[in-house]
Amino acid sequence: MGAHSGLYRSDGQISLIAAAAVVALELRQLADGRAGARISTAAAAQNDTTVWKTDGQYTMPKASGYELLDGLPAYWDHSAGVATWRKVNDRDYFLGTVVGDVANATLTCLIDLNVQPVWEIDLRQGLWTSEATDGLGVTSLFGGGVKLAFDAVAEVAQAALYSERTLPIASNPIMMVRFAVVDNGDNAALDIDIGLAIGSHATDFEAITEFVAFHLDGDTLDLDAHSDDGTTDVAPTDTTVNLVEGTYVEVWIDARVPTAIKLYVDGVRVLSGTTFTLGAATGPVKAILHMEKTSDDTPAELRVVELKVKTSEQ
Amino acid sequence: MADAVKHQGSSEVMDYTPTTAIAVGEVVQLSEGRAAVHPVAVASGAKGAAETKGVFLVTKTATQVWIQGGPIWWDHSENAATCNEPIGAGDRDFYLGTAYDDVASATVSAYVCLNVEPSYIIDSSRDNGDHNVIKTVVGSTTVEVPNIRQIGGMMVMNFGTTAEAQTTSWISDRSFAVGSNWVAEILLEVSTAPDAAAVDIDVGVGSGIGTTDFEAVAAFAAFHLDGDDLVIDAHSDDGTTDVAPTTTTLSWAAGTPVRLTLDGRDQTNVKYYVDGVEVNEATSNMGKLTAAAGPLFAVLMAEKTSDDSPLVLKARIRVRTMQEDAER
Repeated sequence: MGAHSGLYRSDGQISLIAAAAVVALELRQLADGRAGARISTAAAAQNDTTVWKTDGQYTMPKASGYELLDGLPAYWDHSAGVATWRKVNDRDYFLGTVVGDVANATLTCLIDLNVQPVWEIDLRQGLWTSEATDGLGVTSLFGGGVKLAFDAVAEVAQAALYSERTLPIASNPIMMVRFAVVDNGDNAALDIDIGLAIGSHATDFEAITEFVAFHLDGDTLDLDAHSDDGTTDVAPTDTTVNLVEGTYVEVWIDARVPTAIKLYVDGVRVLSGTTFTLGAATGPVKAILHMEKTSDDTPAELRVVELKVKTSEQ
Repeated sequence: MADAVKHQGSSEVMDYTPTTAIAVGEVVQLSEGRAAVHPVAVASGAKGAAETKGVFLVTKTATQVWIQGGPIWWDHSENAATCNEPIGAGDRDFYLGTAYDDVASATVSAYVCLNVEPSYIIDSSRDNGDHNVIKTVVGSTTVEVPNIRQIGGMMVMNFGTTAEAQTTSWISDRSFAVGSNWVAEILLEVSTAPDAAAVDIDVGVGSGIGTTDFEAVAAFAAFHLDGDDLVIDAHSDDGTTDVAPTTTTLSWAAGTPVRLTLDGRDQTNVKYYVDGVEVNEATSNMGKLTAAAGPLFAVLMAEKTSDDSPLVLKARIRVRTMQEDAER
């Protein structure tokens, strides 16, 4: 084999001719989409050679109003110039993973640049089991998401999707789900649940013995949460977040402390005064999407485009 | 403040303050899910440095054959590395890296490239392919047609329970040369088992895909499930040497995934593995693709002759190639 390649530069840094002036310690998105951090404390002028690091850990500005959780992905909010939990439809891009939990009011955070989280459960990977009793069941969305739907037929119906991979309660799981209730129906007969559970149920999610989940109760758009570990049953409680039909939200279930599970909606902790617990649960738990209705003609549609769970040693 | 102020110049070493003491060489899972190794002991509550990159010698699960470049996981409860992807199980296993070398079954330690992921040329959960669904009785009373869908990165194939011949199949768009040192890694679960011998399931690599009979494909190396028989078979054909389905002596069960591997680095003797254990090594000419012209494709096919047998199967096929198979 001939000399097809020669080392130009080791990984971890890239040099660029600046197309415009560059400030000290600037962060920018490189041509391959990765984040690049300039570690020089000096400004550079147009056409200067500048060096950009693509790995390492960096302290970055963060806005107040949301939390960041250890090991979850972080994005660079291009317009605001801060690290955030979710990119939106402007020039935001993937930054890396968060190092350490970051409180709502804290204005800096530590980011492991360009490091991708490794998920133990991922809606786009691995084995999943779907269930359907009447209704329209579980169908795939182009791009890797799923849709659970009921049509307007007066019948008992259920649709569920759950991971075949299960995780021990003690595995420090954090679950993130991005979903939209596209149709919340027209009757209290409907229930929707998204969370971690020991199993599924043909007609009643709350009959599952161990779970922690976000919950929609009938045709209300109030987002509730509840848990049950076989000993302590926390009934559905209003997070005070109201969903909007067709609008996606991102929820996190932080079960690293099973006796004090924290819940988040769009980066903001909810129901901090309520103790959700899997402390007495034996597990293991799986990720589950579950929709049911008692006999009624209410339609419903749930779309989930991201569902991931990570674990860690501590 | 500045956009980014350097805290640490590399992601290869991470600060790690354990809540319980860490021993030398201990493998842990970091908060973002990556694997890390501690080069020195760290006391509980003391700050240590966990390494996330490099080639490490790790304890290996005996009875498994590792194939160079293949994915390896850390079996948390056994404190050993394994080539079997964690599925179900309810344990804390996590991804470790790739096998640095081929490793024999009896060997109990082996090198792993930490946090490196294989680069597949074909991945059915990611790449395009062509699928085919056939039901035969025109104007029949079929109410449940056979179908293929994809959920969670797995192809899901269903048979309708109408008594008729049906086929569902998938073939990758990308193909590869027979001599490209290929390895095919397959995850297969029969969720709803067939109830008749009329059903055939084949998964592996082939020069094409048939419409009603996988064995009509000119060249292939594949695993085979024969109807409601719970034994996993293997077979191959290169157009000259046809090895009929032969038992691997291992079984499958409905709802239990099996990890199947075809090691095609020697086209005169493709090797077959079930859950990391080599099978059919003594079957004459099994895996002989010497006369196969190729190219080969990743293929999955479920077929039944006229019968009302149900079937639900889930499968993922990944293929990787390499310049050569060489000890380092």
